[in-house]
Amino acid sequence: MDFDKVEESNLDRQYYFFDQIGRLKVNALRENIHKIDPSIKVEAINLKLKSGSMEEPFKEVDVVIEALDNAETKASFIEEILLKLPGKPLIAASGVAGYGGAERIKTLRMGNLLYLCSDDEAPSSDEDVLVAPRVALMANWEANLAIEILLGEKYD
Amino acid sequence: MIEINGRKIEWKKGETIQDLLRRTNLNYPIVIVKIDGKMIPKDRFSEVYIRDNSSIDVVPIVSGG
Repeated sequence: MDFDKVEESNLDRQYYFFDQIGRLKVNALRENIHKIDPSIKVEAINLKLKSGSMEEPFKEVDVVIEALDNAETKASFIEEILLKLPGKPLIAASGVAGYGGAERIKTLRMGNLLYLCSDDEAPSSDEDVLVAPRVALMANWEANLAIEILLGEKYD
Repeated sequence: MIEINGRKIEWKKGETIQDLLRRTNLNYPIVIVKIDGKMIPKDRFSEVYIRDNSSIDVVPIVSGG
């Protein structure tokens, strides 16, 4: 789910190509996934989350994975999912900006259902660069947790 | 006594979440707070009083992605 269009500044760390600039991210990404394997089922939703109803699109999913950019939106999203969808596993990330420091990334488990991939010494993206290696590390850290949750290995 | 991010500290009567964040230097601009596993919305930080023997998790959230 996304509402954005592909911009040139995304290409250094997000999985789009130069000739996709200007296209809706969800459509471009679905196309790229289908280039890898046309049989993969992708439900691409072009939608901007609205404060107060952020949980709406995620009622039926098995795991929610947060990949927002702005800290305030991240915090509101986490708050709304945990309060309105009790019982829904949520994976979120904080501390994606900058480079290096991979060994500081850890999973904080807050309660039964919130898994926060966190680097609490990382700078905010307002004060440091966003580059592919750290963004990919965090994204894969989240995906790795999702597999554990989906396979039932993360529940007590 | 209360426990905040695994550290045991003294409980103070009449202390709100906001006061506690300030006292423990955890008053980052944006934080997620859970008390005894329960998520506390940020607009209640100045109204919710900390009870003795609470276990509190505070995690700062920063931008990036």
